[in-house]
Amino acid sequence: MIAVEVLQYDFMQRALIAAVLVGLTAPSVGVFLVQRGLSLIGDGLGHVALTGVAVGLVTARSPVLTALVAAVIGAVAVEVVRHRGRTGGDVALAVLFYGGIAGGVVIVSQAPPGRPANLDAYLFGAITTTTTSDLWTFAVLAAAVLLVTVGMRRVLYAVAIDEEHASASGLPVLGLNLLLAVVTAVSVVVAMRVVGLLLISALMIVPIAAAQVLARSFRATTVLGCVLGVVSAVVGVTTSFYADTPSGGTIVLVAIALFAIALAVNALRGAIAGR
Amino acid sequence: MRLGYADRPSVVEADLTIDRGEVVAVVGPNGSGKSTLVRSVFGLAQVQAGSVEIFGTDRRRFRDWSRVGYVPQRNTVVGGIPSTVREVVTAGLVAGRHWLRPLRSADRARVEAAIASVGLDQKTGEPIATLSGGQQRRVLIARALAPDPELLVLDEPTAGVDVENQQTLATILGELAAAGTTLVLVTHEMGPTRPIITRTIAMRDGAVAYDGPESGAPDEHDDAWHHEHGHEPERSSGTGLEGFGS
Repeated sequence: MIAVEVLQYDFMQRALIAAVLVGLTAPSVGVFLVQRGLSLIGDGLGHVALTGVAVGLVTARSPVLTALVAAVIGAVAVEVVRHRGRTGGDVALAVLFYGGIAGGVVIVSQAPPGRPANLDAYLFGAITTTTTSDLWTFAVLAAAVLLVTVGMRRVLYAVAIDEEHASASGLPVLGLNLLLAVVTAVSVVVAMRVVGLLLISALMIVPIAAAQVLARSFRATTVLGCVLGVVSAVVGVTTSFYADTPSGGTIVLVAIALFAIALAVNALRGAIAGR
Repeated sequence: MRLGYADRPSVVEADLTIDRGEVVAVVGPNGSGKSTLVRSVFGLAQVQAGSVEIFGTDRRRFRDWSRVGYVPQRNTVVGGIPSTVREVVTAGLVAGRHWLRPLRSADRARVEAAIASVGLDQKTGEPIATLSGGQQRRVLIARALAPDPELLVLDEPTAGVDVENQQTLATILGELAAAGTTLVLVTHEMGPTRPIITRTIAMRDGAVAYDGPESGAPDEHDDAWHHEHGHEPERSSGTGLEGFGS
């Protein structure tokens, strides 16, 4: 009954559709990031995207598109730095990420008078302000992400578990890693309005972290992670409507609760098996 | 040819050909360049001068990677998200095929056959992390075998594997050799694989110190060997046609 009531409002319908899109796409990318030990990359790209958002707000262009451009450039830079070697790469990434936040804050302060620019909606998410045209943009981007993560899952998996073997099998490892980085950037932008740039990484990583506790295979982890992502997003949005809480934070708290439940179920399973 | 890495001074010079059906052990102490030598075949070490040929094709133009299997020294598969034995071995099928081609029943049968050939058919659906170190090594061998390669290169296949599992590995490799697969083993200790070796290449200080039949090879633990058996390595400038395969 609760769900029916929520669906009476147009803005909530759009919010729930956006939530499902994000809940599905973010973990489908996150599973490869977790496997490669890059759980925090989405966080960093979220920082970089903020500069893009600020540029969009100040120049009166679509912040979604400028954020996309900034995040993609950041993603390519990250992957190239990683590929070049380990030394200094860590520091270079840190500089890039902090530069993204700092640039965003400074640029947005230069917004012309009469057009007050506010980063809050992008930092923490404002899912209920999603317009129909936003929704179409998100749907196209989400479809593009899923096309890559589902369609190319076998090669992405081969690279994620063993770059050396993938390279020896003739796969263009750098190219595939760049592709995954770009897809990560795109899903950062899709998730931006839903959970906010500061919490984007959580939706990519936490559902997968929960799923891998329970699953025994990569495939099951991926599928369960996407299911938990969608559940987190839908339950989070609905809860935020009734409890009058911010959508992004609520979604992430639901995801973390699911992670805690997964740990408890696993512990219980172990206890029963151990008896 | 001269081999090395962009960011390290390690340089290896060698000029050799491996023929079909050989079972070659590349031995030598740490840092002798034995890994670099085989890694160059797969583009994992830079060829700074000269060339590497695989089945008569320059490796830069070589595309038929399903004919060559590689078992890396480091096992990176365990530690992330759980993967089953079947999933890891199926990843071997990416070699030399179209990325988007769906798996056919023949592909699945090949995966099952590769798993069976390393004796893990009871573990197909198990997460690889639940297997012993030696069994995990066998999974990586099965992954390399999935595309049915003619040449299999193994980097330290017995390192960190207990004696019993080393024996199992040697039996598996012996069966492969008997079936006609060309084998190249990089190892600092031949152990139970010694009987199947037909040729030993001993590396020392980045050069070939001995290249000949196993029976004439020095014991890898004997430090005096290179005076007795070793001949001066040929410092090839690498203009010839070197490489692996035939």
